[in-house]
Amino acid sequence: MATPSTQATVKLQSNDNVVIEVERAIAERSVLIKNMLEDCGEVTDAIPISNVNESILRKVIEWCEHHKNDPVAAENENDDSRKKTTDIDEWDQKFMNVDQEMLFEIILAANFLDIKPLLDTGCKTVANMIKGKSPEEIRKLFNIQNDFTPEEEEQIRRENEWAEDR
Amino acid sequence: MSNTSEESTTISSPLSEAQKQSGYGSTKLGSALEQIARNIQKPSFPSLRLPTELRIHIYKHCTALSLLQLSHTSRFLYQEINSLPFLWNERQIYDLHWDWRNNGDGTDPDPGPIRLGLIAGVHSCSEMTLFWELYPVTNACIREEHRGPSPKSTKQTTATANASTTPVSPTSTALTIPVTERPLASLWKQQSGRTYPVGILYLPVELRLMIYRYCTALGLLSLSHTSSRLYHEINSEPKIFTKSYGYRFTALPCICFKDTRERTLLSKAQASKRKPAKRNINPNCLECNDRLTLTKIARVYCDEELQAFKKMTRIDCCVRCLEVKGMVDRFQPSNLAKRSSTRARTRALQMDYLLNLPTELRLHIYASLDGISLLHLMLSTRQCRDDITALMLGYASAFQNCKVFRPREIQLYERALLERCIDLRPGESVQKAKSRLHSRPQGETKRTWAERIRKFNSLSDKVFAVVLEVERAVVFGCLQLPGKPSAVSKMEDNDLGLYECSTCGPARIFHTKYWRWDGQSRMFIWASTCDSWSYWHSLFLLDMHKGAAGGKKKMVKKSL
Repeated sequence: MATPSTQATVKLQSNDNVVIEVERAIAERSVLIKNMLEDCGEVTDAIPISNVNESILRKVIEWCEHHKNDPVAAENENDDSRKKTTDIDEWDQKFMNVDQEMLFEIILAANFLDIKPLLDTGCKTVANMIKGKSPEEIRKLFNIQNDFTPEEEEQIRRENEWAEDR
Repeated sequence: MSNTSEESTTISSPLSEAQKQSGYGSTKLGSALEQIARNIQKPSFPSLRLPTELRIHIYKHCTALSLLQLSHTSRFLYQEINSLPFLWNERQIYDLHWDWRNNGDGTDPDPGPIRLGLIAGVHSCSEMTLFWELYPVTNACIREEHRGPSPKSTKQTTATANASTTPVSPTSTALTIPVTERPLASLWKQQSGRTYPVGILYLPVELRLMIYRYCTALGLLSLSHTSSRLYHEINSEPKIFTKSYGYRFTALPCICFKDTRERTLLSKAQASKRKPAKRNINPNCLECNDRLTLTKIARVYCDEELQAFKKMTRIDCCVRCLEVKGMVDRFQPSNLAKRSSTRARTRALQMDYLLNLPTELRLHIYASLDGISLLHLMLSTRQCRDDITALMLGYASAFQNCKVFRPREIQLYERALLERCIDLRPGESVQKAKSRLHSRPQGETKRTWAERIRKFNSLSDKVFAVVLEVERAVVFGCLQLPGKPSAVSKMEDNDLGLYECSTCGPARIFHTKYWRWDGQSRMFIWASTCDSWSYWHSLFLLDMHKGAAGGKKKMVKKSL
């Protein structure tokens, strides 16, 4: 077991070899980094974040900086109450106001770095993008190819048509 | 150039000799043929000149995608690489898909030629870029860190890719996505300058599931209608949508009833031990795979969703409480009976609409109707009657408000009724007991006689229909009505006493017998036609209602 480290900053290295120095408390918003630091103790070298490039890593750090004082929510995987609230904090809304590519990269990075609140925020943002859109609009939004066969389309039409009040 | 001329002088072929003899040696054609001959003798691809064992050594260091590309360069390499399946079988680095590698029985199946469907991952960004340029099919999901595609979707892409780039192998599947419909790789670049597409389809499944947790029911429905992959993914697990906001639990559930044909029905003791899967569902019913449909949407989340909902359907939705209205009401039993009583073309359309519903939904509707509504619906059209008859006979246990009897069972039922309310004497026939019941015996006071009748009447508090089956057709009916039936209105179809026989065709007057068990609302219809028993809605029924409602206990018999 390594001795607890007292270092104030840690270096993170993106997959395009850019090293970013951040406060340890901020970096520890990531459970992955936190566990790594706990296991390794004093880390002088840059920690390679192999799946995240510089721009995404900076965005993630920006989010962590803003939320560094947030209480750590208790993990409850079976808690479904949270899904009912897709309201996103105003700052987070602005933070997530990026193009789709970056949004999904942030989600992937949050998943990789194990930052649950950021992952939730990303998922909520995508869910909010879906809200109020017809299938065709969603296809356009996410560039989804309509690969239903005519038979499947007919089946879906029948599944849903019957309820219509004529 | 000088080297080339030297080579051309050293290489001599029979063809060039013949050309020289025929005088063509000095022509352009002759030199071109010589060039071809040189090319055949000295392959331009250096790898082909290596010994086979060295080539195999190179193959072992190739990634799966590289091997695939290499196999597409020439017929020779295609055959060679595919003749050495151990190259990509035994080594994990090739990210080959599990579908043939782990077939479960411990044997090595023939994987067929290397193809796109066997590749489950790429190893670098450049490979990923190459992949998307070569195979820009949207339902594939290959990323560096995440194993994406399901076997099914990958096989689809494989088939498409094979069709366009490789010889069709015996194991390749049929084409599912026309090549012309595939988006071009350049399209991605034009759109955003990126080298591979992003979007919800390209996330790992576990992240998509997280997104679904935050989606509303309508959002999930819309999403499921965008592509077959999302449709199957969302509907694969009901928990994905049943816990979403705005999902309606109490909508007409998609259930399937146990087919009770040729089976012994559960005894009461057995049935009581079983707990129903859902509220209001008969224990004899089984839950089937549920799907997210428009009927399951109880409310929308916001104004934007309201607008989207209005685009999708004409069903009303309250602009204040955002609750969906007037959808399930359409098939509420009372409304259904009301609708079935409307006339002519409108009714026919509505009945067609009803009959086009899935069987389990029709069954659910019929089973939840009370006896009189069911009768009314049954008599609305011939198709409807046949449909109800078939379902009633097939799924007798589903009809809680009706009881289906086999031909001889009706007598037993009557006897059981009589045994419970009167002292059926040994050897006494049912008819005799009936007449004894309804005629006040000498010596019995009016009060005790009335009490006995009341006891008899209270035997069946529930409204239910009794249907007799003869040769797979409902030909006999006994209906017990509530005190003041209100669900039935007058129908004029069979007015003037012209009754349409279900088997013989139209306009036959048939003999009818009826009993009025008491002066209130219970009745018993027995109708016979020329050659078969038939059960028909008739004027008697309506007159009986009039009598019950208006206090006149005399039943009017018209036209017969």
